[in-house]
Amino acid sequence: MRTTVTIPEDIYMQTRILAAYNKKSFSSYLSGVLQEKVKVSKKKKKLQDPFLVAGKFSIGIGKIYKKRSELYENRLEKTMGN
Amino acid sequence: MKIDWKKQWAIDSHFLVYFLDKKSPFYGKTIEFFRKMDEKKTHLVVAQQNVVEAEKVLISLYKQNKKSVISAIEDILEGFNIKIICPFPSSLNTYHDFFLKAKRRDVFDIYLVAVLNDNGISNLFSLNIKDFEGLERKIKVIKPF
Repeated sequence: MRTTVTIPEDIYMQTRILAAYNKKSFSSYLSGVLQEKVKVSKKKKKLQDPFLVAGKFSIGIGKIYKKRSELYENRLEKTMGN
Repeated sequence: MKIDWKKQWAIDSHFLVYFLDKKSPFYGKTIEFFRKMDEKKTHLVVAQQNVVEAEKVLISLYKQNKKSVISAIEDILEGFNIKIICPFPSSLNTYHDFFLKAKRRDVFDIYLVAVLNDNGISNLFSLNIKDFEGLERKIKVIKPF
């Protein structure tokens, strides 16, 4: 889409220089910078039937923890040297 | 207790793990549980904390391939249209408030409830109801099987 933005002149000039340095148009370069900043993924995964991934692993996990804190404390204890 | 499937429900970490592990003794019931929620079109949410915990179990504790686990969990979240909720800056205050009033010292359960509470979620499916004792006024926890 086409839009109009107001940016400080020095930022504009710097961006033009960087775009030229990267052999890109101003528009294309700016779009790339914004995409990276707002973390928009170009490759959106196609929605699929979630049951297709059911049972993807064969491990045999029983109760994953007695207390949730176990998931965190083992590492902490090692780190703290207890 | 009767479950109001039409409400918004958060799901605890273990359901993500059991859904993916076909040898888990809880696999069959978890699949059945997800089928029921799918059929009832239950609005599901999961806290980022739960996703991280499920990944910790599968990757760090059970040494599964990192990429496969992340991809499978993303497929569950997207496939069931599960909304991911995050802490707000205020969640730290909510957590401190709950923690000071709670008799329990299990900070990670209390933090989870604080984040759910800040996001307006008052229902949680979990297999560990006891973990949330004393927090009944903040969250309704149901053990679905």
